Amino acid sequence: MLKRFDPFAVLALVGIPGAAATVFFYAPLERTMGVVQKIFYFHLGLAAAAFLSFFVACVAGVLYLLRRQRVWDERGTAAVEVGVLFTTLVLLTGSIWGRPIWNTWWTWDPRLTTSLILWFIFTACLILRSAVEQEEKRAVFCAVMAIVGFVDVPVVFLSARLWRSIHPTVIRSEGIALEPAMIVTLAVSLAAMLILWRALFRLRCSIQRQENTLLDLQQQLQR
Amino acid sequence: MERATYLILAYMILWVGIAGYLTWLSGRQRQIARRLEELNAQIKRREVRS
Repeated sequence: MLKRFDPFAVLALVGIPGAAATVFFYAPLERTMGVVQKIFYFHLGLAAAAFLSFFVACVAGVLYLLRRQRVWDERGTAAVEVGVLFTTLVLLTGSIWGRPIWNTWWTWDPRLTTSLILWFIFTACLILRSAVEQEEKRAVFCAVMAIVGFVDVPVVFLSARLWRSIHPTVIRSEGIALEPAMIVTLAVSLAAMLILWRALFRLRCSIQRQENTLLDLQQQLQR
Repeated sequence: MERATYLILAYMILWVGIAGYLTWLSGRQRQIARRLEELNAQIKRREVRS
């Protein structure tokens, strides 16, 4: 399924187990949360990759509206889909992390609520894609939704600072509030997640391109 | 539940989610290959007829 020499897929196959090993065997135990804090490293990596995905979807949306080239719709679709997958995993891992720490699976905290809104916006974009049949109309709707939806990304990022939130913030204006070994682990898992994102994005783009080519061929044959 | 159980559960969901997505993509790619074969067969039939 993966291209034999896709460098990102190969890097992800090496990087993800490497990052997991760093999380479990190198990162020190956090004093108050204990072993469950180790969810944090991949949770943050997933969130960063999801934000990147929605940024790419927004840029692809703008470029599609300006140039009307199918390639931007393909990239936008791939970015939204991978972004929704990563956001789903962020919400699930965050909920599991929150249960022993906050004693609840879910709370209407600003960071959690804005993240859920982000998930709803881009999931709606995917549903819309499957509902509209006309290709150009579908691409325009999704481009507009991706641009509008991206507005929520900085809101999610700043929510814990703007409003009273119980969600921890590690990246502050004074620096990263972690000890050096934890920063190294975070950097490794972040890099691994971004590489995985790139590999999935490339794969999804290529599938979308193949589907579009196939559709063109079918239409040509029907004429 | 022990805190370690939550950790295992979180990582399980993470890997199952990604593996599930890859499986779904692989299914889509197989579907494309099948449709392509059908299309090829259709073209050959047309060529024989013409």
